[in-house]
Amino acid sequence: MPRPRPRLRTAALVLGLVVVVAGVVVVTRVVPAQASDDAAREVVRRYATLVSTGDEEDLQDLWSMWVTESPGALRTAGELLAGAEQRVEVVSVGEARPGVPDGVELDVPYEVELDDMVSVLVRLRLDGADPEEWDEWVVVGRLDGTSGRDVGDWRVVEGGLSALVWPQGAFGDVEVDAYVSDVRQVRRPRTLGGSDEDVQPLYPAVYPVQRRLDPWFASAVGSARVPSWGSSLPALALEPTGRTVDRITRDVWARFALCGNLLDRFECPAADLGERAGADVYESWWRGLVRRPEVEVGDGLVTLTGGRMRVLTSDGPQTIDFDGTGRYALDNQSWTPVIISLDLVEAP
Amino acid sequence: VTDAGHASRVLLGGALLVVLAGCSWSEAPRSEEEAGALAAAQAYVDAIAARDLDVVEAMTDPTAFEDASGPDRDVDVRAALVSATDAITDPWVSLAGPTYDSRHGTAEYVVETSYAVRDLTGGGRFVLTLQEDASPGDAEGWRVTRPLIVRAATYSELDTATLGGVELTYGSSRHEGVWGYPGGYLLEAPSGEDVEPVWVAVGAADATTWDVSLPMLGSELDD
Repeated sequence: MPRPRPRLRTAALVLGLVVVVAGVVVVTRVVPAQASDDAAREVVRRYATLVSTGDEEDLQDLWSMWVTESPGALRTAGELLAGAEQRVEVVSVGEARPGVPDGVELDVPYEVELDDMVSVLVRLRLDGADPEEWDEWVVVGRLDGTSGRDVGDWRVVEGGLSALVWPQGAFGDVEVDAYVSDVRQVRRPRTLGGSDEDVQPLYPAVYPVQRRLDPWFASAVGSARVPSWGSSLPALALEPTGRTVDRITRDVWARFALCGNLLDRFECPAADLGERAGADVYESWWRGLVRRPEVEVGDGLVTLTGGRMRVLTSDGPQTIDFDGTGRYALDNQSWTPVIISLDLVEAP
Repeated sequence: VTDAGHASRVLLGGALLVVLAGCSWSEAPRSEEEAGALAAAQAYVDAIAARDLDVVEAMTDPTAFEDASGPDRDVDVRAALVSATDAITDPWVSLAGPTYDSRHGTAEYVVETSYAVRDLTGGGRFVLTLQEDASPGDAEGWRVTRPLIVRAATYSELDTATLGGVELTYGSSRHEGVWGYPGGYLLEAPSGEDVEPVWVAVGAADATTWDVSLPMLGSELDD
């Protein structure tokens, strides 16, 4: 076999060298980078799946995927996700992209060393009467000193968490509390250097929510769709709790019990009606309730119906059928509900 | 040419095999070092949950508490752990990653934890460092070099009180910050005084509702 000529041999050697160098580049740079991107994307896919299923058995896995400044709050977020009325559907998981998108802020604990950040756009969907579909950046960071080729090398640092938003009262005002699945949405952990107040983070989902002014008022349980950009607490009407009804009802009877007591006549709800019937309320006029009225306690209103009382007038004892209306409110000293007015009228 | 191409194909194929083999998600530790650190982390929080102060402290570098009081000079109530009325429950741990220092030196891991205290949740971080000449797979070879330090605010109308047996003193602010291990503790009047104790969650996000006054020892109870 004839030997290759020197020029050809040199060319073959150069070509071989180029191929080897290219191979080394592929093996050391391109393949690992692709593998790293694949692993990061797989972490995001897994994360999005766990958010969409919200299975109680997976909550610890979901929690473990994060590095966060608030591990306790994140744990509660998982528990709330498990109790959500409806969870997101993962429509698609995009390609891995190096870096953090503009506008995305990260809250990574300083102790945790993360190298590369990789972002993946995930499309989520919330079904219902008014379905929504949106894109969400999920950002994962590669743990320092790892290759990034294993999914365990990555941690979620941004994953579409948001929160409920509700109006806060001015100083001295009564603030309505927001609850999700019976969990108050204000968190107040004490941290180094003082107390910190935070709002419970929530994964995107539909949650059972409630407004409360414990223990006196509570709304019915409603629903709030919480996409990643947050959601306002629905304006659910506050209703008096059983404790308020009991307290106001007791207050009604306590006020009737003052009737006939000369010094407390202004507290007696029957005094005006008795006076209009001809009783001298500065003397011994009150003979008592013949029939207790039905007391109904509504949203700030008290209604009395079907009462009957007996009073002494200048014409002798008289029986008067009556109804009544009044108002109650939270006293701004004791922060308890008290009757602020109660007027009786003769029943037709 | 043929040999070089063959070699590169072999290398490429090998690399792909390595990549594919590593691409399965698992929370299980991926190395002996991670396994040892994770076991040590679990043992640490389990000891806190068991209110076993001796074990907790034995796992910890005693110099790690030097700056724990912070700018507010919070009081050290670690010793109260044994008297906690409510231990933390169901503590979770996760290796959040190696520290920056471990890049070129001794193996160190940041660990995140979360737990429940009654119906509250809390959490934090601590750091485990592999001891010299210790086997990385051995949980006992790891030491807590940045402990799980958590905090709470306490309030008292009385000038002195105890939290889990640790004495606290109160000035005109009627407030004292404390740091220690997570759990639920009773803030009590000195012995002999008939004052209703106040329950304090240390290391959990506790927030009084609008109608409840600060949980202050010795104050009149609300209606």
